Amino acid sequence: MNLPKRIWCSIAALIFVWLPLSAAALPAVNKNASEQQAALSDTDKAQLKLFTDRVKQYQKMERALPADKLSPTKDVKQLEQQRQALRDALQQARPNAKQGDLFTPEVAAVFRKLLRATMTGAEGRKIRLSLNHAEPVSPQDLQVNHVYPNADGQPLQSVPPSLLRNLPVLPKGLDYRISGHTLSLRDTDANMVVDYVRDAIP
Amino acid sequence: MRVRRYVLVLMLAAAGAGLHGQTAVNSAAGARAAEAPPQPVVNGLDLKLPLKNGSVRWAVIGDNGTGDQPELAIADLMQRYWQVVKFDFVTMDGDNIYGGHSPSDFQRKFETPYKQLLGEKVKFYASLGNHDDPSIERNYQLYNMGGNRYYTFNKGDVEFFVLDSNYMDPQQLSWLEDKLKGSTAKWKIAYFHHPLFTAAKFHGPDVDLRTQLMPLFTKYGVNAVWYGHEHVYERIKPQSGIYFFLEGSSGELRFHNLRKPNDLDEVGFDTNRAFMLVEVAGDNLYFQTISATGETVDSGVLPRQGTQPAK
Repeated sequence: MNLPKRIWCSIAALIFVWLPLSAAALPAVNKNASEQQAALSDTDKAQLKLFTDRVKQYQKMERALPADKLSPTKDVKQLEQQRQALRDALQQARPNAKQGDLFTPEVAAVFRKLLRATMTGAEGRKIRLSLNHAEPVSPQDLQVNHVYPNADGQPLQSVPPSLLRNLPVLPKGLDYRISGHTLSLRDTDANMVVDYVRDAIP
Repeated sequence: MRVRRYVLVLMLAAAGAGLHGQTAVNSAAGARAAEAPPQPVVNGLDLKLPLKNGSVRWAVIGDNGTGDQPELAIADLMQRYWQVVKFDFVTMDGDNIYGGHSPSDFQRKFETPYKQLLGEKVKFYASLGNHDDPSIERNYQLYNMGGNRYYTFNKGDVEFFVLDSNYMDPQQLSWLEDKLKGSTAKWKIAYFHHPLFTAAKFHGPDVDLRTQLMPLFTKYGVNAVWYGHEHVYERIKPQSGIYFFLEGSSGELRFHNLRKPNDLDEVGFDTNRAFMLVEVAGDNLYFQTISATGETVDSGVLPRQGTQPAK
């Protein structure tokens, strides 16, 4: 390759510019660590710890219930009955459950802060596009200890992965759901609202 | 001379960076599907698959669960093709049951339309769409999900990775990475509901989901991906060497939903319902997309990445 020196210098300059740009464009692979959580104050992190402790207590309580867990069968009626029985048992086990038991005002404030930072951060636009893509459902009236309002065939809005990555990890059997600006905690087996935060999604 | 040496070193580094994330998938970007070998019309059906001995054969449906006449018509056509192709199973791209999820809904929207196939012991492997009821459907035995939102299963040389794109949490991504890393299958095929690439106008692609999944798909050599959600058919130009199909019109249909012209699709079809037949034989994946009228709207053969196209 007998090129003049100035051509080689130009190629070198181009590569110097291109290399870091291409590296920055590479998407992160399966990053579990939440950047937004890491940026929280110690007080806020302590609130999230309290939240995850309450979630674990809820899970422990559910595991101790005598109700049968759903297991694979061809009988849809049996699955419906098992789900209803589980929901009944959960309602009886926490008859006084109310909004704010898990998402206490302090915890809710941290969630709002986390979600605001996530939605206004580098991934915010992508998350909003994903939310719009997900066939958003009309905000529903959520009631703690009641069935999640999708029983009449309303689609269950999907939750963008980048948003989930920035929220505290939930154990199997619970998920976050979005309805309008509300973030809820749902028992997946019982399809029941465990708790929710209004105006969580900015 | 020194400058030249530095440039050559940098060029090598740049080449390495460019290959990042594609270590296992040799690029087949731009590879066009070769025409499948012609087959005689069998039992009045236009057949494009070679039906090779020992091949893995399946059908693909998506967004099917309406219980209405168009779903029944596609199911009837699938049954007629099964008589010839004898596919062993059906993969479902999600929205398996629209509307209510009572026992009668499962009867009307799934068990009745596919009664004959179910009677022939054809297995259905479902993924969850946004219209599905996760806690019921993952436990509904005829969907073979084993109680899980996401799962894998093997057929011959093919391993299928069935994902829940409604809720792609860090646990699922971590599970997927472990499963892909441990897979020794010759063909790795993923399917789920929400499209990563599409030229359809109603929803469009889920870019956030794409950002999470593509690095894993390219890093671990996923060969082909299916999804639905948009009620059309698309064969998308290979992306990072991976083949993408959208089949979301096996019950629902959104007429003229595809942007035209677009530079994403190899083939798009948005004027009637459709389903697909797929056959994997050795290093080749044969496919045929059939509309509700029985017309073949797309067909071809795709070589496994890194191998030569079939003759």
